[in-house]
Amino acid sequence: MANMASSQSVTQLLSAWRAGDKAAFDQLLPLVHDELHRMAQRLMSREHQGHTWQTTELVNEAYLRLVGQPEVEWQNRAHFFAVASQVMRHLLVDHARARQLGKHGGGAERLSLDEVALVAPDRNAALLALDDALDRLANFDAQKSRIVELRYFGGLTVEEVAEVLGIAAITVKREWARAKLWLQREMQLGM
Amino acid sequence: MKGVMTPTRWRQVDQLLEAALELPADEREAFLAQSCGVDQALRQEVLSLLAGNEQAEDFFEAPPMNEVGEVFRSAEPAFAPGSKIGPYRILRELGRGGMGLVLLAVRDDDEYQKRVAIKLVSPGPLQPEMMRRFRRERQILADLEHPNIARLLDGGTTEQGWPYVVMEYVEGLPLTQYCRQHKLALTGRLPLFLDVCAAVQYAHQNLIIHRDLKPANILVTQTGVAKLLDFGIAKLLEPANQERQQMTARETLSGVLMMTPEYASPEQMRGETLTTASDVYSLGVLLYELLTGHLPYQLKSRALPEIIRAVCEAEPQPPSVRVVGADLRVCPPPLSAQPPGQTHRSAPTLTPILTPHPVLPGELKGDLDNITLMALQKEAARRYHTVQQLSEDICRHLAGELVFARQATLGYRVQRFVKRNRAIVVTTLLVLLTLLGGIVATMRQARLAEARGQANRRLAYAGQMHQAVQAWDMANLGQLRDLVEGNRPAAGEEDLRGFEWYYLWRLYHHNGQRLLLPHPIEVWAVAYSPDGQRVATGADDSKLRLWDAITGRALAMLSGHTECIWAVAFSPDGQRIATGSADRTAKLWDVATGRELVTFNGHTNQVMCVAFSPDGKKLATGSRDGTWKLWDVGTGRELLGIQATAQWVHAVTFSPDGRLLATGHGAQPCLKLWDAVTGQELRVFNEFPRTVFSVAFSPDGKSLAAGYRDRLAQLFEVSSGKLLATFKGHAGEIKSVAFSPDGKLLATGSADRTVKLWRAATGEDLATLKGHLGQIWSVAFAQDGKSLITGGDDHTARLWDIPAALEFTALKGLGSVSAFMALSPNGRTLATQGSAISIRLRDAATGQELMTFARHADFWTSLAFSPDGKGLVIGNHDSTAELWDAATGQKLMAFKGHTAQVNAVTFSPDGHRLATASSDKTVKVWKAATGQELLTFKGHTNLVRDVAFSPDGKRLASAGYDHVARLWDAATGRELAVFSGHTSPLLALAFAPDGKTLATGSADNTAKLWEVATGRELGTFKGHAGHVRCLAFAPDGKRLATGSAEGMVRLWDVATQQEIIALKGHDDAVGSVAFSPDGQTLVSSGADGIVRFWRAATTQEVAAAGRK
Repeated sequence: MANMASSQSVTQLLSAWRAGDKAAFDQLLPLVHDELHRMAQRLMSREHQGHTWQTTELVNEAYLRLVGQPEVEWQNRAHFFAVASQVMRHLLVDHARARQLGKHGGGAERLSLDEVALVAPDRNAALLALDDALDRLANFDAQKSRIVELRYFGGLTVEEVAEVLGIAAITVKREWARAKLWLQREMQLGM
Repeated sequence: MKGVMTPTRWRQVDQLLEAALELPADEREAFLAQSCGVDQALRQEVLSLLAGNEQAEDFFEAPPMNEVGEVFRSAEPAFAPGSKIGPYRILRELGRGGMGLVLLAVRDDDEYQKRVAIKLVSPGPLQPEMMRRFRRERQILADLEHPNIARLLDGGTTEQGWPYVVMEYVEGLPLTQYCRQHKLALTGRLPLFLDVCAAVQYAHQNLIIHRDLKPANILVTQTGVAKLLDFGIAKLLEPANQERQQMTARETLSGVLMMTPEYASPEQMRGETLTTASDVYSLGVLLYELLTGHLPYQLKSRALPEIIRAVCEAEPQPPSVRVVGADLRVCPPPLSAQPPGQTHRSAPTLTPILTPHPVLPGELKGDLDNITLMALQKEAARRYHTVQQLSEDICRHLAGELVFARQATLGYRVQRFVKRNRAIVVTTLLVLLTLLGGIVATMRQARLAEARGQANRRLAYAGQMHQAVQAWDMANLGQLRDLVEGNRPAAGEEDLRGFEWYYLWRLYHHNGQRLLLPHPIEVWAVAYSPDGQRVATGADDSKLRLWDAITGRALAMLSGHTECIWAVAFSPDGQRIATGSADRTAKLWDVATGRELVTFNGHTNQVMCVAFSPDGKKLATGSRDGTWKLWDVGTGRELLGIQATAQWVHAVTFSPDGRLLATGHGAQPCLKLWDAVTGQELRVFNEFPRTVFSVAFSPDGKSLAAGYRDRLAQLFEVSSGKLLATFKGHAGEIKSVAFSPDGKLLATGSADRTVKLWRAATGEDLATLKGHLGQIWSVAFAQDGKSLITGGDDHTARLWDIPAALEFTALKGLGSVSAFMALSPNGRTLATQGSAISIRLRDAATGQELMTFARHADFWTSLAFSPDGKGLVIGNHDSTAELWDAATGQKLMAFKGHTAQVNAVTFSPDGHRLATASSDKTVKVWKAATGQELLTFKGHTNLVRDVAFSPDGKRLASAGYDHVARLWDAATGRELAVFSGHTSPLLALAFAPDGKTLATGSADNTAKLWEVATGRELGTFKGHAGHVRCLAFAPDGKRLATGSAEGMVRLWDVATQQEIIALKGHDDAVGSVAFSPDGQTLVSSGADGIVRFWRAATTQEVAAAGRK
């Protein structure tokens, strides 16, 4: 549970990061990671199998639990999402990797019907390919890579990405479009 | 080029790409050829990027969904295809969540090989909350049986200890997808929606709010039947006042997150106490989506704060407008996730399909716009109060009738506009003022605004009274109280209250409850001491409590058990108490000292019930280990241990002579009779696989009552096993049954929060005791039969006054020949039918018979008392009327002259004259004293159905089958006015007490209000679903009561013609309604042979209670 101390510290860390303190981000990362992990477990444990949790919902609740005040400073929220996007990327990619291994290693076929339906079978592969491509993109265009991470894994809106990266929304939009073009070619999607 | 990209090279590529994207597609090649010059690699690179296709676009636009959950799933033992759960063979897994999974299975021993869905929950030690939820869903579903709700078939626990439920397997598509796929037009969509409404309404009637209505939870089968699933977060209606939970933002949010926020109501978003109105809202969202293909909100993202903002603040566009705007757009992908396993779903289509929405704006404009927006009102009180109202309005629309939503939303919107734009309105008025130079116009405007405010208050008041009736029906007394108390007028406000308020106030205050014994926790068991001085309660905190039954003072709290107490019983001499506990023991206590005397050890599972033998020497216990045991009270020695069932033993009781013992259990056979000495099984009572929670012998030992989980109780003859009576009427399982000491009454305590008192011999429902805010687990009578104690999971035990609870409120079994009655002018005597030809007078306060008129005439048709109450006039089928002496039962006079049946009779206010309406199309006025015919009123072109004198006696009004009412000069017979406007025959009419207005009831299902002086129609009372057969003004003139062929009595605000409450009390047409002269009692009689007395409190009573 997020207690008062941690909720204050998360707010402070977010503010510090917004003010330019890069170290604050590194401190936030494990906090957010733990909370997201806890949250996801809690949510998944609910007797509510009909619902599939979307990244945005999950992160939203994690934010509310850690920071506790919805809507007070939306910039803080955007920054929180930025941290979360990185966490989500790790969690998702790790998982996809594990599942790929499980498949090829002859492990139990654990795909249930709805998974097959909801997630195209090659979605795991696509996710891994994206992760790899994003890493490569970061080598020569860090900003685009970050935009994709924030948009895709963090569920941030264009405006929120603009706030976090300190650039114009229109720039985010255009960069996002071009990043996608490069990534999809690299991932050989749709071929 | 791939792989070796440097930042510098990339900047080149990126810049060209950016520039090319700005250009129209067909100019890009040329642009690149020109810009790249000889650098063919650069040109190729940019071109290959530009070639990106739409499928990839899809990948990025769909956020990672299921993976999020999948990441955290723990390894669970798989239930492999082919393995079995109970009698079900698993075919495959349908879906899973973190804590459980859904399997498709087939019942092997079923010749039809019907497929079922089995939902399992992992029994992890960390998940008590989760298990509780699962158990509750199981319980909720067990109570629901409806063609539009996926049925619960079975339940149990697997060998691995996983609890499971077996559900009807619904093969189908989510509602919205089904409509899309079948390209259903409006006429196909609305019936499906009505199906859903029916299911939700049925759940509401069972006190269940679904809370998660969305397309994914509604599947449509191939045969086109909509089925509601997933009651996973449904809940039993909770009393609004139960420490009005102050939810933290966090809890609120998690509550919201548990449902799909797009379909959540604003109050749900805010984490407020939910009522059925919340489901009405979700149905509104669903309707909106069905009509337009879109959610009512335009969302930029699925970020929760944005959804919350939209749900709580954004005014939705009318569906007709939305359809216009959306028509040209691409159809959106399905909006919500689907429940696992209940549907075969294809992989998401990668390219969006361009489908024009099959519903046209023209079809939506007007009624459907209004209906949808009314269901989507932000304030719960402004929505339809019930799902039924919503579905009825859609039916009205389909039938081409006027919908209720029209007036309600329009007035409200005008009001809101004025409220929001007060400044603008004021400015506009000032401009008007200078322009026109007239002050009058502004005054009028101001008055108009004022009047609108007033109208709005009336609307809100009516809505809340309606909800209060609903709260009472659902035994939600806290909400009833809040709604009643919240509508006392504030200082300076107009008092809008009428009969209904005083009626509802009295329901709350005169419910028979005498004392409330507060506990910190659930009360599972109650008992009355034989001398009636004390009561004992056993609670979830394992404590036994003793109370003074007269004052309610707590006397003692005894500790000893280590788990909750399920059963409590006094010894016949009143000196000992026995308790049964979840700690697997029973204990014996000394009442005087509070000392624990004996512990009965031996059961291997929780002890659910205890009973003393009539001589007090033995104690019987029943346990979840499936046995009942007999113990020596003195020594604690086990005398007998009998395996009664494979399931739990819920109830055990001795026959009054101590020779027999009856047990009730959880599996077939669920009711057994034993020899109490030898333990020999003597009889099995019930062939049905029911669960018996409670059993009781009648005091004479001849019959045995059992309360079942499936909402009914039954009475059997002990000697033969014959079924004597069935007690049907509870809306929840029956937890406890008890006989009154004289054996005449059976009390049943139910999960529906009520206790019912029944006539034991016949099964007649005599009274319903409401007050508990939760399920009732235990009931017990005092020895004198005048008092009853109940215990419930609302943390209270309550003591009830039986005579008060049995207050006379209905006469039953009068036969259905005639639905007519008449109330004497002083309100004390009621005339009803005796038989088809005889009339019976009864005391209106007690129902006691006073006199029967031994008539030898033909069938009678109508009745009226003379103003002094001494005479009773009767209209007959044989075209005569008769005057009888109400005191002596002598016939005084006959009035002969009509040539066809007399349909109505009435006295002039001074009692000197008498008017009759006849099927011969005339009305006649007679001299009461002599029987002389004074006047004949001719003018109606069809039979005359009703007649009434104006309060001053100068005029006479008649209602005819020719669709009009006529006003006559009573002295001259001259026709003064014709009230024309109804579209069907008129069935009833009445003058308002001040004589200025007149109300008429018609077979067009409406009543109308008319100005007597001008003949002008003032308004229409709309809402009945059957002919309006009778009506009566309350003495204060503020309310009109109408009775209709649909069996409803409705009460209306005369000033606005707004319906205030509907009273359901008749199963057949209501033939007469009347107010007592003090306005405190409304009497209605129906063709179901029932006369009901709806009693209101007096202003003095209310004032006195306020002073206390």
